[in-house]
Amino acid sequence: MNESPDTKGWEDHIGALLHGELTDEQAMSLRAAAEHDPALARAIDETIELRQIMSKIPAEPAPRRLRKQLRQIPRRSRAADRSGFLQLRWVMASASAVIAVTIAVSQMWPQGPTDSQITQARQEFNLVLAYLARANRKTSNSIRLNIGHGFAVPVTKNTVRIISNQFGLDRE
Amino acid sequence: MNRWMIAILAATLSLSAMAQQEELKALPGYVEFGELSSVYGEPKVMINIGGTILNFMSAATKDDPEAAKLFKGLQGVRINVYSTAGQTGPAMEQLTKIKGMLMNDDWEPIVQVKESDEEVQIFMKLDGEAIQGLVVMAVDGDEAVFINILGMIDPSQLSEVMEKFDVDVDL
Repeated sequence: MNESPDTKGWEDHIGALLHGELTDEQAMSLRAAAEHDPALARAIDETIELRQIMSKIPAEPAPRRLRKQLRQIPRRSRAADRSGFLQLRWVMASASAVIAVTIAVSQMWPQGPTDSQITQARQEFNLVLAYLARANRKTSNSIRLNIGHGFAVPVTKNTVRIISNQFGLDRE
Repeated sequence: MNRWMIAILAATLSLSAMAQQEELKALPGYVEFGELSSVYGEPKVMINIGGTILNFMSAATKDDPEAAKLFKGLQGVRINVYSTAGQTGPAMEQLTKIKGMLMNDDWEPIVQVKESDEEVQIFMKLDGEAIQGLVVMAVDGDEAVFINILGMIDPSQLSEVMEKFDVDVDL
């Protein structure tokens, strides 16, 4: 069926004509349009011919397998809905499990850590203190060395300067 | 227990540890030591003791008022120790970086020892007369030590408790 651009605009009407669903008003407007559009007129003729041929074809029952498959479509659709619900339930169950575990873990602390946990924390704390003690030792050694070294020089210089100033030795 | 349950448990526990770490981060005495694992590998010692367990430790030492008082004031204790194996450069750089950060954040330098092959820096964050935090950083050819004590601490209590605890760890 070669259709002109105008014919394309009438596709719905032609389809309705084929299925016998064209209203009187639509039939009139289609007829009026076909008078000025040979391609549309030809399309209408072909559609009418096709409708006549189709009406002569005896109605045969659809194959059993096809009917069975068609009947299963709504069931599958319901099952798909149910599976979405099950997925939602699975997500909710997982979320509940996470919440339950979180609550369980958070509940552990108000009851208090076990003795072994406290002992371990105490050992770890002692280790930190030991590192602190070592840093303290290093710094005190260094301070002692530096003060012993550096203290003498400024004190001596200061002392000399003060004594010098006192006795006016600088001027000499 | 299936693998999903294990994964859920692991995720929950790591979330709990992260939450504790986040809680410590909010304290004024918290100091971010940065990342040295890419240079020295995983820390030789890595300890994070949060305020909750310190409170329980305080309760466990109620017969020793001084120790209990110290623990009560503490909100967290953290330490990261890396083996430097003679390569002190990256640790020294990190120490200098943290030092600059602390100076900008009004931490008081208490002791600074700088020698050719080792450096020790001790900083305190003060709130009036009380200490909000203490940072000790020590780097030498063997180790890089970063200690952060959070909370109100009295140094005199610290030394008393150390004596009482008879800290004898071979380092």
